[in-house]
Amino acid sequence: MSSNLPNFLTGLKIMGFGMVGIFVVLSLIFVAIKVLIKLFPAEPKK
Amino acid sequence: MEFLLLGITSITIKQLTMWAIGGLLIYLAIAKDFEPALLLPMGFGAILVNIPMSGAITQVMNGTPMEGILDFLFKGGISTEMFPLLLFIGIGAMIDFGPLLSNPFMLLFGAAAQFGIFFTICVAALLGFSIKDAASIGIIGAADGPTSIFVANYFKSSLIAPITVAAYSYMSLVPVIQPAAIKLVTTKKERMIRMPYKPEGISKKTKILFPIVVTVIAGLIAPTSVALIGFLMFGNLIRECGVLERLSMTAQNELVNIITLLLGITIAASMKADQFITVRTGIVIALGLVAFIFDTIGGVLFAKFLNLFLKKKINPMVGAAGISAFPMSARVIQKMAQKEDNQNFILMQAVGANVAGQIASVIAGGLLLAYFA
Repeated sequence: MSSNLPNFLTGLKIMGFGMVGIFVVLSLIFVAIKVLIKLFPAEPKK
Repeated sequence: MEFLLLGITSITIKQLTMWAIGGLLIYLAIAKDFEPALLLPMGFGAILVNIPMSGAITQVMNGTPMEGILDFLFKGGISTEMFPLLLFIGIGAMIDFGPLLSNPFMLLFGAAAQFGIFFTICVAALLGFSIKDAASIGIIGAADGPTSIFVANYFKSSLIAPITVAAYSYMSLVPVIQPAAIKLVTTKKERMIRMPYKPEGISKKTKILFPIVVTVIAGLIAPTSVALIGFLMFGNLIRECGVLERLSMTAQNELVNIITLLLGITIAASMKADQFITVRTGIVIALGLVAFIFDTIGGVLFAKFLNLFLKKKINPMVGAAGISAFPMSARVIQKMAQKEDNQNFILMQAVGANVAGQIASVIAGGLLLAYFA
């Protein structure tokens, strides 16, 4: 198990990079959606 | 006359075992309705490639390699990433992002429910897999067949066959896996939380621009993901533009059907007995379950964390719907909510999270590729 420690630590780095990265990208998409909704509001239902 | 018996006398125990595994996949597909579109071709393909000296795969005759059709399809469709990417066009054309656009807060649960991917990478690395193999195993947690195949093939993983079997099998087992995992980390009171649904109106222009914007944002941050996210969003753009109805229908039906038909049987080219029947295959299939469980737990715990700060509480089960198994996961969550309180309707919130998970899982795959690029 100790010989796998460097790989495990790399895995932890990937976890940090990956989870932060997903939240960053999806937060940007969240902001983009809000901007799109503001710029192009839905037509009111008749 | 001896040549007539050569096939029979060449059968090995491992090949017979692969026939049994192929038969099991066919049984699960037909009798239990477990993702039959993939498991049946994979099961039959497993039998095809494990017949001694099978002409379906490359054999060496008198020193000359004779290429088999399944190896040819694998080289052309899987190694080039063509099959999963074309499938993504069809999947994108099938997705309605409306419930997500109406309630974009659900994007966060799509993100949180990818936790299982990275947790499994760590576990696989600790168990002795190379970091690229660990990443290929972890992506089972994307709960998305094309993404799993794309990433595993990108890393040239020899584990692509068990990864694909695990991904599609567990996707069909979501109604069994998720309720058990959710009950582990939630109380009855939490599962009974009601959530009012006040969707924002969405214009057609927003629906048209959304796939373009997503592609650009994801592509700028992780350029290696452009093929994956781009093809998914291309399919969605064909659907939403309103002027390509025929192409949209073709993408959703004929394209998806043809590629699915070829994909399953082609993946079987890597299900040769010597490669498949190993301890590593068993560990991969077990780790796939870990990925799905921790995806669910990650989404639920994130929702519970947000509830510490929110006045209007979120039903934590909605976090579990952030897994990419669409639309099954959303339906499972709604069923669980109604079991606790038959007047509790959280389906639309769950659908929003589920659709967010589709985007998040593809981005997770893209980020893995970007890390190693």
